[in-house]
Amino acid sequence: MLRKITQTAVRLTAAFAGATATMVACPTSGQTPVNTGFIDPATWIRGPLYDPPATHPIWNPAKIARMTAGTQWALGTQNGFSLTAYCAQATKTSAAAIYPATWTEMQHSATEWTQVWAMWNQACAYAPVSAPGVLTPGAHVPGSRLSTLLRRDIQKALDGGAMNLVIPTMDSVEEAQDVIDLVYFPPIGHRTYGPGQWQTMYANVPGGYRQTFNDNINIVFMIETILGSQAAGAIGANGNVDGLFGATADLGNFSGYLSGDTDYEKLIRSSYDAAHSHGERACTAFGFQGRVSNAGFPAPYGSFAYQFDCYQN
Amino acid sequence: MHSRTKLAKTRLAAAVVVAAAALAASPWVLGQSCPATGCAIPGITVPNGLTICSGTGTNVHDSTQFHKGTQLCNPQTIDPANWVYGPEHDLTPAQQVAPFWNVVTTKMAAGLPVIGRRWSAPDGSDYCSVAPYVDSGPNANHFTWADQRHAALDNSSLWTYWRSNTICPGLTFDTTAAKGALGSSLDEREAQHDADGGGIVFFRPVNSVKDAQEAVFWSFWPPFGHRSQGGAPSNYDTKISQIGAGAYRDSYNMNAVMIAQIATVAGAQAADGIAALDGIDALYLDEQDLAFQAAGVANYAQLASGVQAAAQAHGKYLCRVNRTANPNVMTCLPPTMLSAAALLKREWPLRRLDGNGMPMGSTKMAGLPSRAN
Repeated sequence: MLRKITQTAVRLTAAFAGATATMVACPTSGQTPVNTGFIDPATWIRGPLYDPPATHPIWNPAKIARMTAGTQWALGTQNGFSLTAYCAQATKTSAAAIYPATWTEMQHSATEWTQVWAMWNQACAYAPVSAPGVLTPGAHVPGSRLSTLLRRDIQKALDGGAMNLVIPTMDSVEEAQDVIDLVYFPPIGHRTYGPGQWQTMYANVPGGYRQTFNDNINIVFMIETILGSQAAGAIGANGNVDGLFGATADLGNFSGYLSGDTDYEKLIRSSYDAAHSHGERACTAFGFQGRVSNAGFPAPYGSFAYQFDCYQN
Repeated sequence: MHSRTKLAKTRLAAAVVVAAAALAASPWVLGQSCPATGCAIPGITVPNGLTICSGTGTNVHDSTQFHKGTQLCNPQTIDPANWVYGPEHDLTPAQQVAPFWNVVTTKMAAGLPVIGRRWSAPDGSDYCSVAPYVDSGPNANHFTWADQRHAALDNSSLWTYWRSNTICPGLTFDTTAAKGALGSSLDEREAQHDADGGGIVFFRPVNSVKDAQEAVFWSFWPPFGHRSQGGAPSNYDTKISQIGAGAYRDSYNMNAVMIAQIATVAGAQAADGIAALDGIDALYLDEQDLAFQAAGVANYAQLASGVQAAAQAHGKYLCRVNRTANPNVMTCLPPTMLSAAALLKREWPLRRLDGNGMPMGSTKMAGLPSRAN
């Protein structure tokens, strides 16, 4: 996948150029070709098909939570295949947070996509918001923590109805851009358009699923490694990511230090600072809600009161 | 000989010699910038070997010197090349010399042959027929290998069998052969799922040194590899406790076995570099695939000899499969048993070659009459 990065950059550059050109030059008639030269992504003027409505309606409750400052939101974890257990996670409630999406575990589980789609195809899996942009307690969509950055998994998750993706072990700006390329529809990304469970699930979303998907998808990158921590600031600078997740167990796995150690604090703080410095949400495990670091840590790590926004639970 | 080298590399070796390169390091380097011949990037493809905290000047693994709750070992800019890996997964001296909990590692450490059998039914119905551990004799069986490459097996069925010590009637942990996975790819997804599911002997198809590095990268824990933590199997815990080994997370790297499957001309040509890698315990000479891959483009016998020589030169095991046996039987021999004379005496199904070094029958296949005839 990463071998495509050069092409990706070309595509994205072309997409932005095309979008700009479309705004200034696209004729309304279908009879006259707009693109009269050689076919080239660098110069292709994108047509109006699937343009989003001018109002850009936000119907994904996870996206609304992300956009609403001060909201505490969490993702209910479903590990394994169980129709009833999935419904319990999808409809979970708590005084400490709202649950606008699920965390269907694919990284550390044997769950297959046929099973995931079956869980997501239940009536309990999707509860719409009361109106676009309105933070609606109880509204929720399917979501997943994927196993890796494969097109296969991203495509199946999205076609199955996921509107919140958590991407593990994000290690570099290049990987982040690859994910963006695979998740978003053109002109931002390169997601292919095909039939899927989303068709029935989101048949009535305002503005249409294809037209509004890019505005509504919610993406959280997990910062778990030394590599990822090194690149967290640059990863967070990607304008198409919604949150950075400071992994609790894997930061210890990759660093050799656990929560309570000063070096661990340095790492979890790096993803937290990277998220907030770019206007994104800082996420982590639910147990870290309200975390205040040890007073005994040397500056600047001691007695720091975190204000995380979103959680796995 | 196969020993505790992984542990040494992971924990104790301050003298790891790294060749390169203050690259902007990331797995992306493996995917794109790292050449097929592999690369040595401190903190990525090789442990950086650092143990002394730049912040305090003390040994991070000595709790009398370094106080992790109040001191910062890594005050420098976060960078894998100079990150001093912490003490959380250190083994105690007693754990370092505890027995292995993977019987294949035990055998390899003793320089003994290891033998295993294939299973492939999507519902796992053939697993229990190959699962019993047999220490020696004509039916010796030390490991099983789930063929994920040429069968419809997926993780939902694999985990059922791998994660239980009692799923086969009458068997226990000690009477069950080690659980192996013949993967179809090198990606993180498959490596993660195989290890999380309970696999402990891994076979990965590799065509280059870089491929072999990627196989190791995804299958071993940091700082030796890049395996992510979560959902680890519990079926080893009782055994680990009995023998006084380190916890699964801490002793996995020294127990897991990685076998590089050589099935292509490119893989055979790179065999020497593959065998030289730390983390690669054996080369699996896939004679059938290599013979067909070589047909018409290379001399199979020469390639196969090169693979054998690579294993021997680097002190690694060499594995072969008897495909006429049902189920297929894989035999892995230690380098001390890989003398040229011994190899020549062995009868391998695809050693029957024509005068051009090609598998018998390949010429005839090329000359089959067309349908029109």
